[in-house]
Amino acid sequence: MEPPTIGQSRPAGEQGLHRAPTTPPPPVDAGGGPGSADVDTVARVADRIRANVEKVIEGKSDVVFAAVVVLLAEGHLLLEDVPGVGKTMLSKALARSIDSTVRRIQFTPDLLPSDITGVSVYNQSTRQFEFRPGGVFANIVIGDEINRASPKTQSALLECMAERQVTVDNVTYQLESPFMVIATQNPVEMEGTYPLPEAQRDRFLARVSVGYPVPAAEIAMLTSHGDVNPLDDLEPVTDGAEISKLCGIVAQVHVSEAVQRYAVALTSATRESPDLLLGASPRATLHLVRAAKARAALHRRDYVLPDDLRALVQPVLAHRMLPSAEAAVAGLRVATILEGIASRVPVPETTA
Amino acid sequence: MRAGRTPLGSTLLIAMVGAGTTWAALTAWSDFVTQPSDYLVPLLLVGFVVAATGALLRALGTPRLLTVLVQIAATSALVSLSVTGSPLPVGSTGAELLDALRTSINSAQAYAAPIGSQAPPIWPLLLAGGAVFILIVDVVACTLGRVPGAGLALLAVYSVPSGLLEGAPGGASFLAAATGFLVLLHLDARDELMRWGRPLGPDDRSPWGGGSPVRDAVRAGAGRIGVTATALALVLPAFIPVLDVDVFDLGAGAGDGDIRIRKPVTDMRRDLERGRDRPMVRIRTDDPDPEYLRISVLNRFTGTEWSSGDRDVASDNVPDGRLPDPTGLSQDVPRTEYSYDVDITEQFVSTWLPTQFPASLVEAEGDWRFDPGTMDFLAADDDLTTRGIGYEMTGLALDYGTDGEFFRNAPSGSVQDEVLDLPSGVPAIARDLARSVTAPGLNDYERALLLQHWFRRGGGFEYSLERAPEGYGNDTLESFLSEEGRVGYCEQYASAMAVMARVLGIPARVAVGFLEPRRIGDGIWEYSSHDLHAWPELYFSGAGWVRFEPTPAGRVQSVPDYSRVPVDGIGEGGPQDPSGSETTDAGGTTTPAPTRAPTVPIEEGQSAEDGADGDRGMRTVLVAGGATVLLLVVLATLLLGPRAMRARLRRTRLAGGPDDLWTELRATAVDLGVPWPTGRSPREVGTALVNHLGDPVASQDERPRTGPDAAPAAAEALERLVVQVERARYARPGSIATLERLDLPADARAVMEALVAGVPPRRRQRAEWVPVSLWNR
Repeated sequence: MEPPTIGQSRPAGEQGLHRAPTTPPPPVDAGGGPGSADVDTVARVADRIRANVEKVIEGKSDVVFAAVVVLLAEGHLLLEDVPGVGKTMLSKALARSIDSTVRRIQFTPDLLPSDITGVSVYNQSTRQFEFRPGGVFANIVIGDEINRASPKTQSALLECMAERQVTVDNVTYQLESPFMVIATQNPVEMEGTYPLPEAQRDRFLARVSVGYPVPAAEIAMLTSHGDVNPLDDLEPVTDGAEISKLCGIVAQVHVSEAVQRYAVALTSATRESPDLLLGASPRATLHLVRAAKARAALHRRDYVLPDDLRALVQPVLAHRMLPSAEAAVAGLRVATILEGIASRVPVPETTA
Repeated sequence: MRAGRTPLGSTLLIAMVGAGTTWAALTAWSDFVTQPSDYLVPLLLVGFVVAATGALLRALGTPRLLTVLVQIAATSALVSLSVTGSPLPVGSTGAELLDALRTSINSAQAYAAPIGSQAPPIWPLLLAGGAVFILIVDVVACTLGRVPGAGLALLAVYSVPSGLLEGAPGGASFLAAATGFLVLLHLDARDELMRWGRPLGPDDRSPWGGGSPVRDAVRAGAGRIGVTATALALVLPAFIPVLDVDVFDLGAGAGDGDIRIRKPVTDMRRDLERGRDRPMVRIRTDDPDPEYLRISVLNRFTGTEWSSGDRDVASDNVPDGRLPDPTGLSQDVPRTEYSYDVDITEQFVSTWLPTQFPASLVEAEGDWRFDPGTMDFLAADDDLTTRGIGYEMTGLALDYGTDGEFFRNAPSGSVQDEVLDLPSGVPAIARDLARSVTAPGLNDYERALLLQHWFRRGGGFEYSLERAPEGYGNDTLESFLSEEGRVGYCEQYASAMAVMARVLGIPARVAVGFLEPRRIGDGIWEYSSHDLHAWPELYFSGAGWVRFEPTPAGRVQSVPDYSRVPVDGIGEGGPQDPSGSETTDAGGTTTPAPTRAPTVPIEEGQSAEDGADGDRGMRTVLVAGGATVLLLVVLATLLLGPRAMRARLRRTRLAGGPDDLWTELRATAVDLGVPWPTGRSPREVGTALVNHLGDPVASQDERPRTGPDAAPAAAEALERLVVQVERARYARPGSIATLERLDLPADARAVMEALVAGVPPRRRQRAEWVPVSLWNR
């Protein structure tokens, strides 16, 4: 299983048309939404982050791009790949590029929900229960090997991820903002693991696969990682406050009615497809549009194109789908099914 | 499957073969008329136009419905043009067309096939029907692509004459149609195969350049099967006695060779109108001047037709010897007996036996029965006809003299009442004229003579077969007798005189038979098909049933001696001295005129044919000319119309916003046959399109180099265009108002030029002249 990648990977024929990030469209002054200056800021900061992360992860700019898209869309990222390809490195580099709090939780079979959310302990000196925050109380939470923990521990993340809050002993604690969970999981070693339930997967905005580096990148990696941990040299390029601001700008990116219809048409098509047992949820539609907004902003556009949605169909939707029994028997992969659906759903042609 | 675009070559070939096949099948209808070219020539044009328009429209990818509608319109125009002379079947022309069709239907019902030029023409019906079949075959075989289904239509074409004509349609048309259908099937199958692509291997010759489809078919082995099947279809029926299909009846008989007398009068007219004069009865006699040979008698007038009425054919009334004396004939009438040896040709088929009247003896094989009242001989056996039989008879030549002494008695009661019956609705003009014309007559005999004279001379009647009205019922009678009418042929004259005689109380009936024979040897005479005639017989006590001859001199030169008696009042109606002129006539025929009299009708027939031929020739020329003009107009519209429409659309769109430019770009791509992904975003389309851009400067190659590198400027223009289209469609409304100063139409033009430069020159031309985008949106 090879989850698709996000962002800048494109067919060979697309050069010249996908130059948007490097050849910005002429400036547009418009009231209401983010001006081009705003999306420029988003793109500039994002470029800084990406450049910073790519110091550590060579040759994976599309994965980095995806991670940034998820960050700006205020979503959570699921990294799925075999061990040793840099999942943890990626998440750490991303976290370190932003001057913010980072927590790493190593999911193990004996991990308890309270380890994630936090626990109230009795303080003998004050003779009161006081709350000891768990692992999620950070701007960026790295959940390593998330499928190794028991389902009940996994579900402790549910509330945090969706509602950005933690409730312990009837007391609700707000999480910090920005808040992003980057979870990694290993699709190969299935023994002793608990695959994420659908409800849990639905809460991740996108799932990407890092994939093996190309030989040249691997050689470069040998040089740079030879003696010293590159993460140590990584300096933050932005801070949590700025990310929050950028997220605000991204949320303002214009989604025309035509694009909205296209998004709904795409997700509806997954629900109606006979090859899929479980289609996309309305939350998936929401996530798709949010991610598309971030992608548009990263391409210095203050409006979403159908192409943004189309490019994000695989990473945003694939991990939420369940193939039907027939499709599974026929050996159809979810990615293939989704690609077929996306190529069939027509783009609305009307001017919004 | 949508009616996609098909290559013009293949669709045109199939369409043409289909139209040709239908046309070949339609030649099976030629036995309906004596002049098949009347409908076959226009149908050839119809077939061509239907096939050409259909093929063209299909090649352009026009929706099927539209294709069929255009074909229907073109066909209607052609049919209308052929029938009425005006291509638009609306308004008065439409009424005229409908009228012509109605006349055709009436004519087809009234006359037996083949229908000649003298009867109201039925070729409009054949033309319209044939056009419908051509359309059906084209629609089924080509537009719908169901070639086997077209076989049903062809079968229907072929079954029309099979069901209606006595003989089966000719084998030639069957052979041609079957061959055409087989070729059609083969072409269809080959097209089907070619959709799988071209075969691999060294033999990659072009499928359309590979010679005739027939040769292909033969080579493919389908030929063997087809030839075997067709041959079996033609040969096998000859060996199966039950199925009288007779398609091999190509020989001497061949459809129009047989002359049938079943319904005497209608058959007579058809035979008279037949182009060729055929010998029918040959007699050897000692009569120096054989006259009329009677076939049957019609003694019942119903107001619409004369019929033979109810016949009393007792089983002992058989022609095996002496016959009873003719009814009402006085023994005092001097009589001479002549013997006749009759041979009927193979081409004369009648269920009535031609006999002399009066006759004293008839001896014939077969179950012929005579009616003692009428003394005509009817086949009692269904299968019995006169075809090829021979028999003997003795005729009575009666000498009534010219003083009318045998006619002076009042009618006795020895005739059936039927011969005096007049239906209600006999036109008043017939009654009035009968009385006024015969006013001077002192007795029935004189009245009859006055009537005859009036018809022949006094009334201003004219004999004309081609202008003769249809039928002889009350309606026709009224118009025939009116001052404006008075044109007809023997049928009307005989009928009118018989009716008027009945009005006067003289028993009358109509006889059908042959006029005078032609001498072909010593004592051998021959009656031919052009000698067929009808005349009235009037009854006079003492004289019996006596023949009169109202048909004018244009057809019949002489009248019987006894009817040449001068009567007071004759001559008042006409300018000439009656007796003198009549005597002159008589002088011409008192001596046997073996050649003259019979040749007159023949010459008449020929001249009539010639005139009709001339008219027809003119009409064919007119039809062809008009059709050519129409075709040219249609072609010009087809050629220039789309181009002009496309240019106007382009101008309008280039003046519009980004979306209009995009639409125009798409139309251009469709015109050029450049793939345009449907239902994709502008960016995706642009990505696909950029690979088809060519360099406008170096675009003369057969296969121009394309891609973003070939036309970098156009690629950039396309990119700008895409961005603007995206912005127009998806950006926040209002941001469009402050578009930077970009010359988008120029960009669009650059892209379009590059697209044009990116396709081979032939496709460029097609896009120019046949912009498909007008149909395929």
